[in-house]
Order: sequence, then structure tokens, then C-alpha cells
Amino acid sequence: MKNTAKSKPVSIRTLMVKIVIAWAIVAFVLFPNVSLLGSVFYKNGQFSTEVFGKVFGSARAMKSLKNSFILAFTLVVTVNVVGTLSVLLTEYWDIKGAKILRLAYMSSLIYGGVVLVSGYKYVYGANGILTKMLLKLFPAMNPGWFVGYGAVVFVMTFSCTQNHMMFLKNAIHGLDYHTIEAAKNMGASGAAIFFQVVMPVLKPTFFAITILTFLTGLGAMSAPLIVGGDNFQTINPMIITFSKSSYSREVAAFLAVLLGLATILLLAVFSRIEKGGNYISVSKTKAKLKKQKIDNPVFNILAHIIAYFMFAIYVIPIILVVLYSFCDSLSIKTGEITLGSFTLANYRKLFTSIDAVKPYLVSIVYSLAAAVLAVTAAVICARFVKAAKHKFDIFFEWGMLIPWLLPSTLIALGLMTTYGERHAIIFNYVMVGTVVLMLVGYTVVKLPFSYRMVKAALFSLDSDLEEAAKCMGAGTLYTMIKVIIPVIFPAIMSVIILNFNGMLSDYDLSVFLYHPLFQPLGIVIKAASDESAAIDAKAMSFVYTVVLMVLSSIALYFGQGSGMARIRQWKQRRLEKRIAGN
Amino acid sequence: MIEFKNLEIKYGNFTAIRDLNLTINDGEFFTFLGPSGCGKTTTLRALVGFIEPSGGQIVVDGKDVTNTPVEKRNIGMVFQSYALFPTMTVYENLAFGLKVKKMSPAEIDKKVKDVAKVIEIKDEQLSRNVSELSGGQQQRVALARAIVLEPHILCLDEPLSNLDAKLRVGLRSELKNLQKNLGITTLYVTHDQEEALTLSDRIAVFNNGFVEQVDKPYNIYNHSKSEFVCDFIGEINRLSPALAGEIARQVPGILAADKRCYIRLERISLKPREKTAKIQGIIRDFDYNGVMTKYRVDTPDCQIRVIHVNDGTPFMEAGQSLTMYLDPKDIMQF
Amino acid sequence: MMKNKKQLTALGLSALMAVSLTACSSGSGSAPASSQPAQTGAQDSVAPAQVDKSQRLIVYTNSGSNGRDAWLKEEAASAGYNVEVVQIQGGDLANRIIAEKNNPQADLVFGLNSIEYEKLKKESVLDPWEPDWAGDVDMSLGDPDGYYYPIVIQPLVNMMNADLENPPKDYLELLDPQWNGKYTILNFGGGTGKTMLAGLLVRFRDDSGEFGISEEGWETAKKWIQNGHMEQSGEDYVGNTISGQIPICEMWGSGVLQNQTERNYQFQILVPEVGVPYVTEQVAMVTGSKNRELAVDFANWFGSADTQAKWMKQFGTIPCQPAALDQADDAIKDFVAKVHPQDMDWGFIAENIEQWVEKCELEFLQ
Repeated sequence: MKNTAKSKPVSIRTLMVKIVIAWAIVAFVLFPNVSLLGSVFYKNGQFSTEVFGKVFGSARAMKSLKNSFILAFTLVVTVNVVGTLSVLLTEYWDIKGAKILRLAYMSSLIYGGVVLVSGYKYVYGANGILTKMLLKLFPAMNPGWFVGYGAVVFVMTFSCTQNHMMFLKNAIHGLDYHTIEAAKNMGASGAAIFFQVVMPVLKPTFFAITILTFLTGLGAMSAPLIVGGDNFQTINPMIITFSKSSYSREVAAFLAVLLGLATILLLAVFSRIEKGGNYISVSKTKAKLKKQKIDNPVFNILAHIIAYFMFAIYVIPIILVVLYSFCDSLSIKTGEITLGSFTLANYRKLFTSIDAVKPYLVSIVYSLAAAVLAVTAAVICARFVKAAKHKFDIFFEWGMLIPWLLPSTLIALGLMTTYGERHAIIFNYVMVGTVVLMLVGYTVVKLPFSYRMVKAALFSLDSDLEEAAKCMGAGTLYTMIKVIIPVIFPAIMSVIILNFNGMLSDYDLSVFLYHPLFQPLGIVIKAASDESAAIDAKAMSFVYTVVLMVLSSIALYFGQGSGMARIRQWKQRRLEKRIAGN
Repeated sequence: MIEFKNLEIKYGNFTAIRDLNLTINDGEFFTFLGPSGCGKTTTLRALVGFIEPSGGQIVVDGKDVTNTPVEKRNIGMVFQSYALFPTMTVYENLAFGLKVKKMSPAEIDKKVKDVAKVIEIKDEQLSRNVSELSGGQQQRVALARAIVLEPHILCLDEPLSNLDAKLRVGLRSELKNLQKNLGITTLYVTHDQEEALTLSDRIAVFNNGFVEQVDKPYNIYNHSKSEFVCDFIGEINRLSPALAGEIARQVPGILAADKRCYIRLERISLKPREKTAKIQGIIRDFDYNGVMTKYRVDTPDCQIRVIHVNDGTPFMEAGQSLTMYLDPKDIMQF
Repeated sequence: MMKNKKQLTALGLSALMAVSLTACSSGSGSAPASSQPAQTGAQDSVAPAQVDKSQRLIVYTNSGSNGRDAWLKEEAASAGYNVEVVQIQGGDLANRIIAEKNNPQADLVFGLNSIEYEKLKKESVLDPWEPDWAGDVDMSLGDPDGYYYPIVIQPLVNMMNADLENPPKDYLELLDPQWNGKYTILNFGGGTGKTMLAGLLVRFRDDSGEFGISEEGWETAKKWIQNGHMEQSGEDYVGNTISGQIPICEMWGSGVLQNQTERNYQFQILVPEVGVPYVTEQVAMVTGSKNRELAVDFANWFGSADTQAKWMKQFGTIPCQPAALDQADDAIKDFVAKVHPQDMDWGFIAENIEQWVEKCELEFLQ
């Protein structure tokens, strides 16, 4: 009888991993942020309420806050529309030249931030080429038309579709074509198929992307700063400015907490709705997606027009950025480019000495290490949550998502101020001034995104696979490595690449955390493109952007498309040889 | 020998299996049959180790395995979805369990090729990715993957349900032969009574978390122990009390008066026989399939279905009147 | 005992992680005089006059961009120093030095202005010292307590379109509606914007007022901010000045000179009678440095008239060393002749500037 009373033994290894991960979450995610917020709000042992008055009394803060929310809600709609369109136009509908369209639409994956917005400004801004053309047609128009809410929404809508191009694309390719054929067979129209058959299957992906988009909107930085004008400034730039001043840090923290609360609310609402049902494909023999012809000739022409219109929107700023990277700074500033403006001097500057290469290496190593670490942690935690046996296991989910609640500047500050002192939780190790600090920071900020995406992949996995491996005698770890991870590997790679590209030129976080002898690229770029210091700052920022684009594209190539396919082909050939040889 | 002793399985507040007691003998082809949601798959999964029972014991060869981890039970399993590893080739799928056992590459290679021969997987298919295979081939790979490990017990969860009818019948007999040749104790979960009857040495009919009857296919079909079993295992006529009364009047002393009466379609004769009740009816309509015709016949009290094997007698049309002979010994009562 | 234990853990951990570059740390922000035997550096120097130049110095600066860091490294190397110049933006640099209190990385820091150094002084991360050129420079620009010493002057001015008629003579004139939207105020996040704001506010010092500024001062600041044009990220404010779109713009001294050369233009300079804020780039020693004597030796070399003259010729800076300034070209001399310093109490400013900026950001900015 004693056997029946015995509960299933918990593997020691699992327990150890859980303890280590839980410790890491507490030490690197919870503790620094809590102690930062604590030190900000508790002054002299008292909870300071002064900040409430300061913030709520400031018309500017309230307006910026409101703008941030307006932007977030707007983007959820516009980014989903444009992002979905981009994916449909390149992957679902049969559009001529889809390959070249796809390249253009994916451009948001390889550059962003200030330079991207500048790129748009050089098209639509007061000195922009489009504005100049329009002025010739309508001399009365206001050259400064590209400013404010509309401009910010426009730029961000087209620059924030990278998650669609990554994840929605994968999801669409995971569709079972038989379901589409079946619906057609039952006489469903193209629209009915799309909305009733295709969309529901994509729902989980849409949820994940919508959350990301909303958060991007809340945290908007470069676009409002550059094209927001006087009337459409958002809260994040204010948070960053204030967080750098030790006196105003409480204002920054308070504003960040407000955003954090909104984020918690959003996550809660979404996980509620999401519980309503995830659709896992039930078919055993999936058929590959075939592109859909748009039968209605009017719609077909319309789709082509939209596709190439979007192509132009995506491509022109990039072309300008590349062109400008070959121009001298003054031409860029004034927007007057002649043949004489072109020079190779900018690029020559990049590699004046061997020292110039070091920041690239530093950034590549840090970004890659952090990307992999974050995804590893995400996989482990998502696995814990999926196989949750105890209520405590949900801790891993919240632990992973917490960094979403705070802007990365504050996370960096939390790490910097906390671990400049000795704390028992990391064995009295002073982490500030060591090379680990930035690795921790990079990893922490990438946890939520990694977790969210890995979880979506893991939860849509057929649990039979894991069970099948188990009953063939494989342990949890072996199953994970040999079966589960290979299946979700495309998703994992996508996340790693996005993490990598996202951190490659990071400044906001790095500036607080880097080791002085290992300067990452973001710091170098900022120094080179800081207008108060460098004459050719503008040009250099374009040069660096082009270099980053190249790096990101290489990463994408290996992580996503052809690179992976090559590796797989090579593996297959090797196996064939082996079997034939025996 | 597998023994389920007072097995109880709960999902939250819902009890999926209550007080299950079953013994399965070595080498037996044993089927869990029942409608969906009856607990048959749950029981199988508890045996394999995916589900922790909330009560009772599972004993295999005298050893309590109730709390043994899945990977230590050495039970082969074929999933309804096949659960083939999509990132691996056929060869890698087959070799997976052997690699876990840390066998040498040469040994693995031999075993994989042997099993491929037995299950009739062609050599050139071994290097293919499993997603390139047809449903029937995937099924073979799934089966091969389970038996290559030479498990004590083989569990199959609706393995044929995703295949088309013809393939299903073909694989069914192959499966039966394979099981007999290997002599491996096999548990088979299905909701298809025909599959269960053809394949099994014994069948356990599940309903609502209970086992209603455990017996050989013949007995299950002909001597169903419960109304549920007799209805689930095959087509049956439920006789109205008035009709049952008429039969009891014609051939007294066999039917109990207070129970409901059921009779299988094929046990109703259209030719006069000794000690049978004679019932008149009019043909309403029929299904003809060449080998036999199934007639629906209206009698004064209820409709009766009857099967007439194509024996050369003239074909009867709807509207024609018909005499049927019912032996009360063929009637099952509950 | 406690300390030893802590050291052991720190050592062990860093060895374990194989990442720490500086495994030793005393655990306190004490000056080198009180440093423990375990610390390296102190006992390495044989005689005070002779320093071991092969030791690597880490120099933090916010004034290392535009190739200055590389230049300085090379120049120092030819003078026999082994330095690593780390360029960090102004505001972040001070934050970093404070954060590294318990594990200091830098030996010395130069380029920051008095406001930032006052902040560092308060956090006790600087040590007092004295360079051998202290007598050569105008010490009214430096620290009376002897923590930091001036090397480069950066007068902050408003530069104006060359053709602007009836240019304003004082910042207070800008409050007039006729200048509405006609002057660019740089971001308060940056050093120039911040210091210009301070320069305006200190004229209304009133220790009983909010944050030490009188009611009138705040009213003036509000009008000044709201009547002007706040810099927007990415806009070409110099271009706007030249084109006359927004003809007045705040600018730091070397920026004026640079832009004049680059755009081949001669700006008018607005110099109020009270003078303009002179931001002075200073040099100071970071507490906890293991190579103090070498660091001082380096600072002596760097702040010398010779090096400063080279620095000026290379990057157009305005040196504090009169001997170096003598060698300046006409543009620099011209500019220096036009401006004169405003009398500012840097201690007072350092104490209040963050409050001022926050108030303006929250209440006055629109």
C-alpha cells in the first residue's frame, strides 16, 4: 500500500534547474527593479507622494501620456492592417514580383530607430523629396505637413511590421491547405475563406503580435521625437530624460509604473481572451499552402497597386539612407544633393584602425550571447509553465514577462544602482564595472519577447511528440533537445535573430552597463553621430546604419531563409550517403 | 500479465475512470472499445504512464508500475496522430529509441533495417523526411518505431482511424499477423466495433468510466451483458413490449416478462424454423449491397430490421408483406 | 576578518566567472592613502618622481568624440603613456562614475563641467590633488577645494544669423513677442541647454524662492521657454539659423567655430553684459584608482601648455593655458575676445540644477 501513497518522484535535476532559474529571475529581474523603485518612492523611510502632484499637475506629462496611449491603440489597428497586408500580399495571394516585394517589406527587420525615422523625414519632411515634388504641383501647400499624430502613426505603422513578417509569415505557412480547399469546395468565397478559415487559425499569432505592437506604441521614442512636432510628443522620451537625473528619477519611475500598470492590464486581458481557445491544427497530413489567385480582376489590380505602393513606401527611405551614407554631412543636412556630394570618405573613416573593428565584435558577441541566453531561459520557463504541476510554476511566466513592465532605461538603472553595491543575493559580487553586467542587462530586456514567442510555439506543439519520445525511453532533457527544440527551431531562430538585431546597436541600455574597455557599437555610433560633437555626425549615422543593415541581413539570411535551408540540405545529403554506404 | 487494480483517474473534479479492474494475459491482443469520452484512452495512457492515477494500482508482470516514469516502463506506443518527429527522417525516427538506449551505430543500423523489412518500409524511404510520406506509410513508420524497441507491451491508440477504409482493412490484418508472429501483448484502443471484433482476443467495452463487459468477441457480440454493450457492438432490433409479449405467447417459457428484448438483425430468419415465433410485417424500404439486403419491416407495434443474404430467392420490393421467424433463444434481455 | 572574507568571495567569484578584470576591491571608497596591502599599484611605485608608465591608465571623458579619443591615445603613447580613452556622453558619464563607486574602473576623468564635478564631489568619488600647472591657469574657473582643475573653456552663447537686424542684446529681450519662435533653445537633457537655463536662472537667485530662484525668475524662465522654439530631435538648427527661419540658436563655443568653418559663414554672437556661461572642461582623479601617481603624471602632461596647444590645433578647443591660447588662430582669438564669463556659483547650480530642469520640463514645456 505504501506505493500508492507515494507521490511521483520529482527529478533532482528538474528541481535544480528550477531553483537556479528562480534565483536568476529574483536576482536579475525582480530584485534590482524592486530596489530601484523602492529607493525612488521611499525617501527617508517614508512613501513619497510628492511625485503624484508633480506628474498629475504637469500638463505636458499628462498630454504625453495620453498621446502614448492614443498611439498604442492606433498602432494596434494600423500595424495589424499593414502587417497582415504585407504578409498576405507576399505569401498568400498570388502577386507578381512577390519576391522583391518581400525583400522590401522585410526592410523593417534590418533597421530602425532614429535613422529609419530620418529616412522617412527625407522623403516626406519639409526638405523631403516628395514634399519638394508636391510643392512644385501645389505651391500653396505647407512644406511642414509631415508632422504630428498622422506622421508618427504613418512612420511607425510601416516600421513596426517586423513581427508580422517574421511570425505571421511562419503561421501562414503552417496553414493546412486542405482546409482552404475544403472551404472552396463548399463554395466559400475568397473573403469567406480568409475570414472564417484562415484568420481563426492565425488568432494566437495575432494575439502575440498585437501585444508586441501595443507595447511598441506605448514605448515609442524616435518617431514622436523627430516627426511628432509640438503637439504629438509621447511619454517615453520624458521617462528617459528624467531617469538620467537622480533628482527626477522618481518622476521617471512613476511614469514608468503607470505604463507598467497599463501593460499588466493588457497582458491580463489578453491572457483572458486567449484562454478562449487556441486552434491547433487537427490534420495529420498537412498540405502545403498554394498561393491564392484573386479571381476578381478589379481586386486583383487593386491588390497589385497596393502592393507596389507599399513597396515604394518601404524602399524609398532605405534608398535614401544608403545614398546619404555616401554623401558629406552638409548635403544631408540641407537636403541638396549634387553629384559632387558623393564621397567614400565616410566609409573610409569606419576602418581607420584595427580598433574600429572591436566594437563590432563586442556588440556581436554580447548580442548573440544575450539572444541565445534569453531564448534558452524562455524555452526552459515555457516548458515549466506548460508542464506546470504546481501553482508556483506560473511564477516563471511572470518572471519572464516583468521586464515588459519597465522601460529598458530603468531596468539598466536598476541593475546599475543595485549591483554597484554588495548584495548577498549575488554573493556580494560587485557587478558594476565587470563585463557580466551588460550581458545580464541585454538578456533581461529580451526575456519577455523571447518568452512570449517561444511559448506560442511550444504551446502549439502536438504533445503527442513529447509523449512518444518518453515512451521510447527518452528523459525530459533528451526529449527537449532532440525532439521539441528541433520542431520549434524555426521559431527559436526567428526569436534569436530578432533579439540579436534588436540589441546590436542598442544605446539606451548599454550606456549604463558596458565595461569601459569593451564599448559596444551603440555607444560608438552615438559618439560618432552626436551632432554636438562631430562635424560629420549625420553622415556617420547613415554609414553605421548601412553597416548594421548588412549585419542584420546576414543574421536574417542565416537564421531564416536560405541559410537554414542550405544547412538542412547538407544534413540530408550526409544521411543519404550514410544509409547508402551501409 | 497486466493488472489494473481498483484504478481511479480524475481530471479535477471529473472522474474519468472509477474502480477499474482488469487483467490482460501475456501475448493477448486486448482491445478497449467504447465511444469517445468513455475512458478507454485514459486507461491506456495511465498504463503507458502519461497519466497519474488518483487511486489504485497498475501491475505489470507482478511489479507495481503505478509510479514508474514513462521512460522506464518499456511500453511501445502508437499514437492516433502517429507523433512522428517531423524534423527527422524515417531512419532517425526509427533509431530514436535505440539511440536513447545508447546502442552502437552498427547495432542501431541493423535493428532499423530489420524492422523496416518486417514492417515493409522500403530502403529508399528510410532517408526521406517523414512529412513526405503518405498516411499509410506514416502509420507503418509509427508502428515500426514502437516495435523496434522490442517492448513488453504494445499500445495502439486508434492507430487506423486516420486512414481510408481500404487501407484500414489491409493494415488491420497485417497488424493481426504481426502481433501473432511477435507474440507481444497488445492493447488496442478503438471506437470501431468491427475493428475490435476482427482483431481482438478479448475486448473490454468501456462506458462512462466503467468497463461494462470483458470477453471474447463472440460472446461480446452474441451474449452482451448490458444494453449498452449490445447496442454499441453491432446493429440490433429493440422489440416493443407488445411484440415481445406476442413472441412469449407463441413460444412460452423462455423470455422473462419484465425485461426489454433485443435481437440482432441477422438472427431473424425469413424461413420457417422449429420453436420460433412467427411475425408478420410489411416492407417499408431496404438497403441492397449485393451480398445481402437489409429490410426495414413495419409490424403492428414496431419497426424491425432484418438481413436477407442473397441466396437466390426472388427479390422483395417495398410494400410487399413478409413473414419473419424469431427464436426467443436469440433474444437478449436486460 | 569580515573584509578578508568579502575579498575572498569577490576573488573567488570573479575567478569562477573568469570575467572580472579587476578582481581586487577594497570594498570601501577610501582614498589610496588608507588602501590595504592587497591592493596593487600603491607599492609598485618605487620613488615619487619616477612613475611606471607601462601601467595602463583608464581615462573617462565626455570629450573624446570626433576622433579625439584616438588622437589622445596616440599622442599619449608617444609621450610614453599607455592609456585607454573611454568616451561617454556627459550626463551618463557622471552617473557611471557614481555607479562604479565600489568597483572603480577609471583612473581619471576629464571633460566634464563644474556642475557634474560638484555632483561627483558630493558622492565622494573624487580625490583632491594638484597638477603642476595649477598656477598657470585661471583657478577661478576650477575648484577652490582642489578636486578638479580647468583645461578647456567652452563659452556658451547664442549665435545669430549674420543679417539679423537689431539683434537682441540680452536674453531677457528675447521674451518680447517679436522674438516669438525666433530662437532655438537646446534640450535641457544636454549640457549646453542645461547650463544656458542655469545661466538665466542664477540672475534671479533668491534663497527664499522655490529652489533658490525668485518668483520673477521663474516667470522669466517660463516666458523664455514658451516664447522660444525647443530643439526637436533631428532638426538642422544651425541651418535654420543661417536660413533665417529661426535666426537665433544656442551654441557651445567650439560648435560656433566649427560651424563657421564648415558652412563658411560668420555668425553674430549675442553676448549680454552679464557675460555668458563659461563651461569649463576639467580634469579630476577618481577615488580608488590603483595608479594615482601615474594618473597625476598623465594629467600634468595633458594639461600642460604644450599638449593643450596641440589639442587646440587639432580640435579647435579653447585652452585654459594662456600659453597655449597664445598660439591660437585668429578665429579662436576673435571669438574669445568677443565673450566674457558670467559670474556663476557652480556649487549652488549643481545643487539645484536637476530641480530646475525638472520644473521646467514638467511645468513650462508644452
